[in-house]
Amino acid sequence: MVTTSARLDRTFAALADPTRRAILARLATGEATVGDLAAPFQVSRPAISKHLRVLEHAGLVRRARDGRVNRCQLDARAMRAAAEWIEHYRVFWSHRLGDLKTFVEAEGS
Amino acid sequence: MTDSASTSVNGVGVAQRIRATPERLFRAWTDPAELAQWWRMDGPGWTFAGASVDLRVGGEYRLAMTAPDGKTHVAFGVYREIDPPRRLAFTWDWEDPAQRVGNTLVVVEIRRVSAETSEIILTHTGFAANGPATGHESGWRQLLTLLDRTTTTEELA
Repeated sequence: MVTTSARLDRTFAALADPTRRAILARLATGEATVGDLAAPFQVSRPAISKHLRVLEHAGLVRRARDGRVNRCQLDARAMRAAAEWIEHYRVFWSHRLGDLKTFVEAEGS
Repeated sequence: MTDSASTSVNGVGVAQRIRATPERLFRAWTDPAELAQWWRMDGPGWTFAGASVDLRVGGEYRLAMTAPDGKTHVAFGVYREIDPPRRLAFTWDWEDPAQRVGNTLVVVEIRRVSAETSEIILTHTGFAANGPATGHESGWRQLLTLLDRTTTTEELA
């Protein structure tokens, strides 16, 4: 059926952290600097930078240098790929339950 | 095909009403001879290639199917909850390293809706490890909203 890849693994691993999800949710409202992103959290800027590197590595965030400031942008494609991949499972299980229904109802009880 | 369905970043849910008792359906999920009758992949050329079930908490199961190209795909896992005929929970993964999904969880809930009909609600979660447990609802909901929005506004590269 579906094939996974190292890229999807990275996406899921990146999404598995609440701080990183909050960063993504913030970026969904528009681009932000590392300072903007660090502000609402009780963690240091280096800690936020570390989270950003994980998100970047997973293809979820792009960073662009604007003068001396790092601007972060959401890249939703990787997340969509992950969601689409999970969607395969929804189809898979729908078909399995459909096959079960066909079998059990044809057999009678 | 199913009565209802949902997808989230961390999992999927499907439901199906079937004209059978919960006992009958629970047997269909847990008896290898029964699984052999309905556990199929879609498309021509797929064949059932064996099921083993060690039906106890911590016991392993394996479900094998052979593809048209002759390759056998084996799903395997461990039973986490066995509460006949209402509930069955098991971990889920594929043996093929290229298909690995990690430690995901499938929960099959069966409830009687009338004298002749039961409903199966199946959820498969845990794709992003520890997602809902640690992040809890709001973060995921925001992400899903975001995903909906970007799906409609951002063109595919």
